[in-house]
Amino acid sequence: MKTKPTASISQRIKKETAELHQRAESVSFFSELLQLKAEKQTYISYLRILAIIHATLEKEVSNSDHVVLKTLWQEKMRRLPLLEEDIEILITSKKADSLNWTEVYAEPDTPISIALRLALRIRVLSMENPFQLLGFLYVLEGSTNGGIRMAPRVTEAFGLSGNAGVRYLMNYGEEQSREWQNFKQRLEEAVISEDDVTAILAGAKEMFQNLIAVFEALSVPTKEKVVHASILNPEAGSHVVPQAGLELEASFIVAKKCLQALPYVFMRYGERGERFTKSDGAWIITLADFSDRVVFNQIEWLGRLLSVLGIPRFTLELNLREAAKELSTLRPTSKDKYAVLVRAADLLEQNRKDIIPLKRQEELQQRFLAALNPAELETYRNIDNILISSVADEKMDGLGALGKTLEWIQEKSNWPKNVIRAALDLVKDLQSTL
Amino acid sequence: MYLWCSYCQKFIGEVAPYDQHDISHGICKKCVKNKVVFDLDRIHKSQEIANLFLQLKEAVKDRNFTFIRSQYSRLKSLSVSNNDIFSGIYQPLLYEIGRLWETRILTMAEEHEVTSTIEEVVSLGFNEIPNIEKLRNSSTPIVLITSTSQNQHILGLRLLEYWLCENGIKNLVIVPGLPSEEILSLAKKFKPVVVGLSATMPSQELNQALTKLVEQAKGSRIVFGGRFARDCESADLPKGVTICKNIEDLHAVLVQCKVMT
Ligand code: B12
Repeated sequence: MKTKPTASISQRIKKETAELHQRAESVSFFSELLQLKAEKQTYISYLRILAIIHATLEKEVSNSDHVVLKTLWQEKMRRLPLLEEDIEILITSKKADSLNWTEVYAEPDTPISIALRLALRIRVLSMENPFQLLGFLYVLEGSTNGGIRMAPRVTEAFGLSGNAGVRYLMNYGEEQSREWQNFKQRLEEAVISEDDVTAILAGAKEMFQNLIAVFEALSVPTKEKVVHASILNPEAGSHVVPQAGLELEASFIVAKKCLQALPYVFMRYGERGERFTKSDGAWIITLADFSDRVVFNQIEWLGRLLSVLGIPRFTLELNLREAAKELSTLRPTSKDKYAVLVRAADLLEQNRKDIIPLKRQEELQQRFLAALNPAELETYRNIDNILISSVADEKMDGLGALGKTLEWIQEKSNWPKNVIRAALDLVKDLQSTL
Repeated sequence: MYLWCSYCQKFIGEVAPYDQHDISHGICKKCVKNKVVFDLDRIHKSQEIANLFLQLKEAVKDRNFTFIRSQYSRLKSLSVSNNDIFSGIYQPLLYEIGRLWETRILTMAEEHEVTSTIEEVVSLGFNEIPNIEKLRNSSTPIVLITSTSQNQHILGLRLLEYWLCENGIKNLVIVPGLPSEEILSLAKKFKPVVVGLSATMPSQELNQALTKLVEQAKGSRIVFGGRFARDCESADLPKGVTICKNIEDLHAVLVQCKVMT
C-alpha cells in the first residue's frame, strides 16, 4: 500500500509500543538501579550488552545505501564510543581491586547470547528490510529520554562524579529534548508510505522485546560466567578467547604494543581496527594449546581473512611474536608452550621471503625510509613492511586487497605527498620484478 | 570431493581431495554387485544432480535465496533421499559458503539466510523417519554426540543426528554445546557405545573435554568430528581419541563397535 500515512508516526509508534515500553521500564534491573540497589557489575553488563547492539546497528545504518536511513542517520547519534568510555571508567577501578582479570571481563552467558542474536538479526534486516531498522533506531534514540533521568541515580549509586561513567545515559546532555524532537521530525519527513510505518512499528516492537529479554536476563543471578570475545570487541562475534587471567592480561598488553608498532591499523581502520586487534589477538593466544600443524592451519586461515580486508600478514606475524614474548614473561614456566606462536610467525616470514627475497625487501625499505624525514619515520613506522607484505599477500591470494590499499593511500590516507610517492614507488618497483 | 553414484543416484561419500567442495560421479559397490545397467535415464538424472549443485552454488553467489529454498523439492522429485541431499549437496554448499564469507564475497547475514533455510529443511526431514521418537533424544542412546559450550555450529550435528536416525541408531545429540563437566557426566550416566564431540575451530575447552572423556568415560569409544577434525591428525589431540573426518569414518567406528554392519 503506497498511501501516505495520516497520523503522526512517532505518536503511532509511541501508542502501539506503550505496553512494551512500560514492561521494559519495569524490569527489576531498572527499579534496583533507581533505588540504588543495583550491583556495579550488573550496570557494567548492561553497558556491555548495549555496546554489542549499538556497534552493529550503528555500523549497518551508517554504511547503508538506503535513502531513508541516510536521511535519518547523523554522526552524533553514534553512542558506541560513549559506551566504551563509560565501561572503561567503571572497570578501571575493578581492575585495580581484582587480582583476577577473568573476574573483570567475564559475563553471564544468556544476556550476551540474546544480544548476539539481535546483532545478527540487525545484519539480516539491513539486507532484507532496512525500514525495520528505523524502528530499532527509534527505540534507542528514545531511550535518551529515560537515560537523562537515570544518570544522576547511577552517579550516586556508584560514587561517580560529573559525567564519568554516565556519558551514554547523558548523551546529548542539555540538547537532549531538542535532539529527540529533531529525530522525530526527520522520521516524519522521511517516511512516505503506510508500508514503511508498518515496518518501523515491527522494528520498534522487536527491539523492545529483545531489550526486555536482555534486561530480565541481567537480573537473574548467575554463577557461571565466561569471557566472551564480544566483551573485548562488541563486533567480534562469538569466537573463543582466553579464560585464564594471565593470558587475558597478556592479550591486552600485546594489542597495545602491536597498535603502537603499527600506526597503519588506526590510520586506516580507526577504533574498529583497535578493537579487532584486541579480539583477534586474544583468539591467537588460545591456539598455543595445540600442535604446530593446527596452529599453522589456523594462522594461514586468519592471515588470508585479514589480508583480504587490507590487513597484511605482517601484522599477524608481529602479533604472534609479541604474544609469545609477553606470555613467556608472564608465565615463564610455560615458555615452551608459547614457542609455537614464534614458529607460526617464522612461517609467515618465510612465505614472504619465498616471494620477495630478503635482500630485495631490505633494498626497498632503505629507499622508502630515505624519502621520509625523521618525524615521518616515527609517524609512519612499519609502513614499508605493511606495503611489502601487502604485495606478497596479493601474490598469494590474488583477491584484490592490494588495489584497495593503494586506493586508500592515494585518496583517503591524508599522508604527505612525499610519503604517498615513496609508498607507491615501493609497490611499483616490487611489482615490476615479481 | 563429494562422490555420487551415476547408476542409483545415491551419495557415496567424500573422497580426496577433501578440501574441494564439488560433486563428482562414480559407481557405488551395490550397483557394481547388482550389475546395474547404465541407461539414458540414469545419465540424465546424474547430469541433473550435478547441474543443480552448480546452480545452487551460483544462486549463493547471486544471493538468490528463494531459488535455494525451492530446489529441495526438485531434488526430492529426482528420488534423492534426504540423507543424500543433506550430506551430498548441502554440506559442500555450506563449505562453499564459508569460503565466500572468508574472502568477504558473502556477508554473515547472507550466510545466515542460507544456513537457516537448510536448518529448516533438515528439521522437517526428521518427520519422514519411521519410529523417530524411539531413535531421537533417546534415554538409552548408543551414540551420544555434542560439542563444547562455545560452539554454535550445529548444522553438522543435525546432519549426523539425521543420519543416525535414518540408520536406526538410538542417539542423543545435544545442541548447543555443554561445559566439559556436563559432557562427562552425561557420558557416565548413559554409558553409550560411542561418545562424540564436534568442533569447528580449536579451543582450549575442547582439549580439556576430550582429555576428561578419554580418562574417565572408560566404557565408551571417544570420537571427534567436525570441520576442525578434518585438519587434525591423531597426534594433534589427546591420546585415545578417534578422529572422524566425515560420516563414513563414523560408520566405520560403528561397524568396529558392532553397532552397524
Ligand atoms: C554456517 C556457519 C556459521 C553459522 C552456524 C549456524 C548453525 N546453525 O550451525 C554461524 C553464523 C553461527 C557461525 C558462526 C561462526 N563462524 Co562459522 N561457519 C559456518 C559455515 C559457513 C558452515 C558450517 C556448516 O554448517 N557446515 C556444514 C556441516 C554439515 O559440516 P560439518 O560441520 O563439517 O559437519 C559434518 C562433518 O564434519 C561431520 N561431523 C561434524 N561434527 C561431527 C562430530 C562427530 C563426533 C562426528 C563423528 C562427525 C562430525 O558430520 C557432518 C555431516 O557430514 C562454515 C564454513 C565451513 N567450511 O564449514 C563457517 C566457519 C566454520 N565459521 C567460521 C567462523 C570463523 C565463525 C565465527 C568465529 C565467526 C565470528 N566471528 O563470530 C563464529 C563462531 C561461532 C561459534 N562460537 O561457534 C570459520 C572457521 C574458520 C576456522 N578458523 O577454522 C568457517 C570455516 C568459515 C570460514 N571459511 O572462514 N558460522
